Amino acid sequence: MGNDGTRVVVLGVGLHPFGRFPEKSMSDLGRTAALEAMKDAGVSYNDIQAGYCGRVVASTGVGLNIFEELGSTGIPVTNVELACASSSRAAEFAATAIKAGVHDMCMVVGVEKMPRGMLDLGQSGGGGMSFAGAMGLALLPGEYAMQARRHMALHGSKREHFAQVSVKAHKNGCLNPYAQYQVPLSLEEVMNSRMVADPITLYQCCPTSDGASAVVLCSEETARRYTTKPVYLTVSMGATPIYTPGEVQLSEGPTAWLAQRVYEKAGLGSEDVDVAQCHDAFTPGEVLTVEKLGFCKEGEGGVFVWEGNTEITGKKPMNTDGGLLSRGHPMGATGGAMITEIVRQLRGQAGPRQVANARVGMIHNAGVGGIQLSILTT
Amino acid sequence: MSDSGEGSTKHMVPLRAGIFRLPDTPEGKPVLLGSRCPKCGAYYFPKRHICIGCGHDGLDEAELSARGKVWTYTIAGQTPPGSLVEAPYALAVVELPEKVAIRAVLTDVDLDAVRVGMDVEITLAKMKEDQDGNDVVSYKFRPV
Ligand SMILES: [Zn+2]
Repeated sequence: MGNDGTRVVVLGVGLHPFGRFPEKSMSDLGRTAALEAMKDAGVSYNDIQAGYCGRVVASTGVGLNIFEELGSTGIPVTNVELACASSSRAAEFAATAIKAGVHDMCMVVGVEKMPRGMLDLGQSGGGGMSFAGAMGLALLPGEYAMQARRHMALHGSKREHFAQVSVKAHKNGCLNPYAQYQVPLSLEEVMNSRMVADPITLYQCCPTSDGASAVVLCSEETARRYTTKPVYLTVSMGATPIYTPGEVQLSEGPTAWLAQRVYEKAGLGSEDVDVAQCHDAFTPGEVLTVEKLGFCKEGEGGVFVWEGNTEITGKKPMNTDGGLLSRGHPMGATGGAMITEIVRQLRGQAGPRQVANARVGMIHNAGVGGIQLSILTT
Repeated sequence: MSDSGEGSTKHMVPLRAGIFRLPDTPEGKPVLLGSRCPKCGAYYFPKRHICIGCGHDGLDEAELSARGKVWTYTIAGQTPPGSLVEAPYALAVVELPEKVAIRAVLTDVDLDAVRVGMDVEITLAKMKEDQDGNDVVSYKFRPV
């Protein structure tokens, strides 16, 4: 989705709080978020012309069930899956349909109810235990940990640099009533928690969560009927890894390459970004991403975070809502939650988390094997 | 029943066929099996059908080098679901001279001594026994 055609406005955003809600169904979560987003947008379900649902472990047809509870108006509903970036990608699809004039107003719902414990990456082999699982290789925090250890070896970043990401995330989560964890953590508590995959300790891993997000998108022309202060989804683009001969790669996608394309499409540069959301499923996510988005030089991400530049009051406030680490990470809902926080920031509605004069927001959302970057502007 | 006289004969069984070649003896080294592009010479592991570098369809099976360097690593404090290894353990990405990256567990190693750039070689690893008492084996890497 580029900057041609009509501009797309994020007219409404909503969340069901993130956490554990064993007594609630997937439809309960999705319905709550959707109603909040439609109320925020000032629209009714009859105004929605297409529905998209981001979800990962949720069963077949979950999006259709959620939208059916809201009404039975005949609109097309599509489930979208890109692992942890599912609802970010769904938002791109909705925005593209609006730009193309296919639909005028769409809603994206992201939803998940997740089992407790470490995600099983090894199931993909099908039928019993996979080879990678049995070998001890399918360790999700291990992937981030190995990127961190490479960064430590090459650039001298330190364990506490990574741990500080979680300290900052939990500080912000305390300011977010929708966050799964609203408790502060000290650097000592983070660093002394159980070692999961060096340098990543337990409190540097995002939790598994239940929750939902919803985003109402519409054309610029339609938005004029509802608001005088629109927030635009200016660009949203995805990518998968790019093969470079003779180069070992661990990352989930060409973030730096895609960031350049996204900045170009938006007619902006990294210096213009006032507030950002990044995929901090594990703390190295933020350290590595600040470099790739161009917020600091390659190799300096650890120091950049350590010196407070990603704090709400810093140069590049990041994960102001607590991020995946503290807000929680119900996979299918995360992308919509990232959009929700950026929209609230750009509207000046983020309360105690508000970044002063935020006008350009950026989102980095990573799925297993794919990424999505978005820029929102006022 | 001519070969049943002297008790059970233990065999080596690969944890999964097609990923590595078993050594002839339990003291030998397994050999990783990847792909090589006959057109441009690029190597891959695990095996694939189409060369990402040049697009050629139809790659040859290729034996990969036994030695490489630790490109990065972590010391894992817990194991993934369904694993046959015990925590803590060293998980590494090993770069082979063919410029392929192998994810592997490091064995016979002081966990405090693992470093990026460390020279390592492949070694046979017993993962478990099957119902017939055979050793189910795979590969790990160890310091040279
Ligand atoms: Zn080739």
